[in-house]
Amino acid sequence: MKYMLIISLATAITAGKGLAQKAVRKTARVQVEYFKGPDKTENLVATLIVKEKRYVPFGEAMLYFYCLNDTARILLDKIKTNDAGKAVLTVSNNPKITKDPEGKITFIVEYKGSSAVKAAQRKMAIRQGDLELSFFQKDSTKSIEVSATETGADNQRTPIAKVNILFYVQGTFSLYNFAKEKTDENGIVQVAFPVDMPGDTTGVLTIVAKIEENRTYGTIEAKGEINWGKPIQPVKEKKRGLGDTDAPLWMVYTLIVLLSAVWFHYLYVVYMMIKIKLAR
Amino acid sequence: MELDAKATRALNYFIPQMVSISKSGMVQVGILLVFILGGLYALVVQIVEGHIVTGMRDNVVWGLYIANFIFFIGISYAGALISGILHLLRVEWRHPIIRIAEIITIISTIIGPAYILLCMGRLDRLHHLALYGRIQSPIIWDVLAISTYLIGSIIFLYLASIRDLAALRDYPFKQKWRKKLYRFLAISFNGNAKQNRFLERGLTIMSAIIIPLAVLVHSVLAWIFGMTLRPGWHSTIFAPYFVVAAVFSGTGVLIIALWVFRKYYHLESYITKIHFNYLGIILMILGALYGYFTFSEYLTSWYGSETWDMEVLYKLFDPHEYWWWFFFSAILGVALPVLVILIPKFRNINSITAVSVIAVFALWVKRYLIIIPTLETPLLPLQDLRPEYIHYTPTIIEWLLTFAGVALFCFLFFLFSKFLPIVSVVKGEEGTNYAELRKKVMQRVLKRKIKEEKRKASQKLQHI
Repeated sequence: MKYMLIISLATAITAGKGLAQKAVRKTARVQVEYFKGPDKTENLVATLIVKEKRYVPFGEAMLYFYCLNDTARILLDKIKTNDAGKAVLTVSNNPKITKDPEGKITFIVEYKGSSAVKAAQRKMAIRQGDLELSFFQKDSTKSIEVSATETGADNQRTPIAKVNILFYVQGTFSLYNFAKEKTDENGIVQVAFPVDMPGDTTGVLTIVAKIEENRTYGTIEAKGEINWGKPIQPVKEKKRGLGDTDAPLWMVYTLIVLLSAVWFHYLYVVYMMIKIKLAR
Repeated sequence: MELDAKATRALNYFIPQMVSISKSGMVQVGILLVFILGGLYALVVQIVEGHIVTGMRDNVVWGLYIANFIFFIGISYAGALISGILHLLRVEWRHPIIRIAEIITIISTIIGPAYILLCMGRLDRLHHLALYGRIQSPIIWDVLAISTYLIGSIIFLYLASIRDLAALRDYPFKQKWRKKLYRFLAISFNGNAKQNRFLERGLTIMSAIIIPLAVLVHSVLAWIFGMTLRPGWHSTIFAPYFVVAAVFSGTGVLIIALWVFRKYYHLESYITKIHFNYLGIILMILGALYGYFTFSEYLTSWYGSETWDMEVLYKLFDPHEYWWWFFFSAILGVALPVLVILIPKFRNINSITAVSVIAVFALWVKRYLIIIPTLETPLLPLQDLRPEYIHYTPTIIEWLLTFAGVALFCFLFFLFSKFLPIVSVVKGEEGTNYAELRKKVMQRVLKRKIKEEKRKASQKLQHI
């Protein structure tokens, strides 16, 4: 009876442990961002993260991309996440995508979960916006104009009013922000061109205008190039030759002169020895 | 070759010592061989097991071996410089010490670079140095400079020994190999006027060329460090600093060698107090100069207060890290030789030798302190590393090879003393010539003075 009790208790503990292990599934999260690049390509970027000690990217997991219409959700694609936990769906020209009467597109990205990770999903509704970038010069004043529009359900374009537009100059390694303005009622914003900005050798600057991480429009980017910057001549690097295959000439000559001088004297002394031998 | 009475007496004194060995000498050689064998064992272990048996790791890639390399090249320098300068200036008291100085040069120039080979991980790629070496690299300069210097030193020693070799050739040795060897090396020298003239010309050229060459060799060695952008190394005064340190330690070793051979071969009549006094004064001047360079180097670094430089300095000034070693190498090892030799009351053969020992040890420690604290202070912070990757500690293998190097140095010295008298036996004729020259100069000066006095006297008479 005593042994029966012990065995029952041990079984219960083991079973309990098993249950507890089964219950511990990691929490997952899906993050979704919408990007429209300067080449008008629209992408939906979904990131799957899983809670360890902190949230970390979760790779090799299948994400399901849906578009929601009145009646049902339509599967657009299923894509595996990469090592950074990201899966990218190309939205442009996808015939399966439909808009609601207000012109919104609703996406759902779903991770169905596994034995170790819980399921997760994220819904995102966006309006398809667009930015047009142009450059103006009136007398000596140079300015940049951005026109922001959105495409409705009937494919009609209407201005986007009161939205923040950020202006950047493309540097070698990153973008440098130089202005932030809201669009007017006509969806237009004008800023002064940064004329003192150094450009390349011909003064060409790349200007980037952005609607950034907007809840309605996501991130939209427009890019344009113009030679209004200060031309900067590239710094000529003085050749030292230390890292080259061939040594600097002065070094070669110095070495030859020094070694020749020393070895000439050695040879002369050897000649003296020969003379000693001959002068016996 | 005809020898004067003094040379014959000296030859008869040295030859029995050359051909025989005392019991105590055999014991001493045995001890040296034990150390050398210990080093060979350590070398085999290092080749079989790899460099993991040393204390060197990814971070501290140079250790005891490179400190030994700089030390030996340093002491080689003094031999060349002292013998070269003394010969050029025809200093009379140079004869008993000049050969010992030259032997120090050659032996230490052979042993020093051997430590570089011990430090290298892939000796099978050694020939790549010749095949793919880049002239831009200070390492290549070093290889070229040291090999040229070694050849020059051998030629110099050989030229300076020809007279003795000729005397030995004519001595009735029992061993045939000795006769053959001396006959070959003496190149038919019989001391005639022509031969003496050619020999003196060769010696003058070699003593003149060996001095700048020695300066260059040690400067190149210093540039290996000075041209590296690391705290404690990247310094413009490193080349002259190394040169002065080298002559300082080399003079110390020369004094020690003189003391040892004086005792061992009873050369009291050849190596006298005057040699120790003169070399002691050279050591004192060099010590003061070295102290000045040391102070200048550390003061500049400390005053500049660059973060990275200060990290190294704090390590040197920290009693838990390198302070006591720093104190010994930069303060005690410099001040003590200078003070003891400066005060005439303390100046005698034993005290000069004792402070030379201190100076030599101090300079060895200094070389260690140049290398290790700097390598233990990398530019990028070290994280998650094992302690031995950050702090270098020499292993028993490295110590065995270090002691073996010192033992080999002594052993080769001993072997050389069995082949050639440790002190020059036959002197050249330049001593007499210079005495005559001095006499002539003095006569001319006296004549001029007399003429001057006569002129003044006649002027006085005319005035009256």
